[in-house]
Amino acid sequence: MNPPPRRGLDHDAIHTERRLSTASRSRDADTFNEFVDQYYAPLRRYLLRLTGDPELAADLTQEAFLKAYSRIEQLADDEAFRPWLYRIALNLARMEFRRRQRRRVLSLEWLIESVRGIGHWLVRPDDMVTVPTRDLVQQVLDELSPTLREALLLHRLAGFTSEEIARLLNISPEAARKRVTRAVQRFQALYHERAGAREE
Amino acid sequence: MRECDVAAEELLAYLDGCLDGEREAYVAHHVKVCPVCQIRQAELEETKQLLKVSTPLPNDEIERSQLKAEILRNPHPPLPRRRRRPLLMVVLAVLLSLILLWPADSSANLQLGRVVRGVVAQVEKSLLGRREPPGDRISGVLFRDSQAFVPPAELPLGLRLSDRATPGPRRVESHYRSESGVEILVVQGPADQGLALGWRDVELVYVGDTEVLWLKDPRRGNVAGMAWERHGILFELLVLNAPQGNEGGLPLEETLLIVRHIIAAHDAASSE
Repeated sequence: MNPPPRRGLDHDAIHTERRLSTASRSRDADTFNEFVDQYYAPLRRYLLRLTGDPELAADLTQEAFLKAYSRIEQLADDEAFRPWLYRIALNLARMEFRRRQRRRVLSLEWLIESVRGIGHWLVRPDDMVTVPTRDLVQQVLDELSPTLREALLLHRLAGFTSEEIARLLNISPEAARKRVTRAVQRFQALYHERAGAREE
Repeated sequence: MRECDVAAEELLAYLDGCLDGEREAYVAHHVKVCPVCQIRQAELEETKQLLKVSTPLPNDEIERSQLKAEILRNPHPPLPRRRRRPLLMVVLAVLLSLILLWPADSSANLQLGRVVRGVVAQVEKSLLGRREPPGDRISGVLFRDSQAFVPPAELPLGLRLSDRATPGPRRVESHYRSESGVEILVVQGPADQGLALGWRDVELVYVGDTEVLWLKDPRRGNVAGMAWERHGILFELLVLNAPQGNEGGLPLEETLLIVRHIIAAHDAASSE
């Protein structure tokens, strides 16, 4: 077996990223928009799985880019743009989760009426909107703790290495690897359990 | 089954290309012959495929164009305000020094103490005074008399009351544990304060005529919590620990026994 290919960005991408980062720091909108072309879709996809909400994912993606652009001077010379952008997006998503959690106090009577209406609802973490046919992958992701979900998606969907995740989340590489490993194990167990139950 | 001398975390470091040369060579050889590592690697790959295939890159051309137009329209957005923590720290340090260096027996010091106590009293009055609803204080909790209820000291499954707390004026928490390691928390509050919902999967069940929300544990048939309302009190039963069965978890039937017991005791107390 050949050694595994190095993950993360390849050399061309790193070179492009450095060129763009340097140009962007001088608030060159055209150059920054090259970043938008490069990273918009992957970031939106990551946020879609993190939040499970397409509209929220789109809003957070826009907000993350605008925030990154307004703070581009704060990007350190040796810091890559992509992890920095994802950190901004992650912080925005966490803030949004906290904001929605505070709002999530509902009367029991209302809840019972809601549940009675459908019989068995899946309650979304945000606003009681229910989606009985939510796809299985999202259902399993929603059952992971936020910490594991973040790590899993950063590694397996966004393609960051464990060392990049460590820098991004401000934790040690060992802790990042532990999170990813535990998240994969939990994801696998839940996914196969749910998939088996559906087949029955 | 999963025993080998390369931890899952090290395998991940290898796949990420984060190992040094010697260790990388060792793990590369090991992975070829170790079925455990091969399974782990396959699980990592399968997880990646599941996520990627089920989440195609979105068709975002319109959104992206709007964003780019916004950036071009406003090429110099205002910089975010810098936090003024250093200045705040200096101010706090000066204040602290003044307080510490002030002569202990000076009349000014006594005056300062009175001012501080007065401010604290005003803040307490304005913040706490407005919050307290009308009612009598019962065990530190503001319920109306008719709502006062002390949950039983013992519940089914060998659960015994181990602690009781009133963390807020409208909240009582009763903590139960059994010798087998089951731990639950029964929370009471006025029904009008609502339920902070942290569960994604909910079903309605009945205990007699009481509608009870079953807050489901991810393990099928298990309970993460229960919530019901009775005589103006909102009850939440939260399963903190249930090391039962092969995988753990508190089954629905057993939890309903506990709920039934609490409801019966509550009804009896309310009719007295």
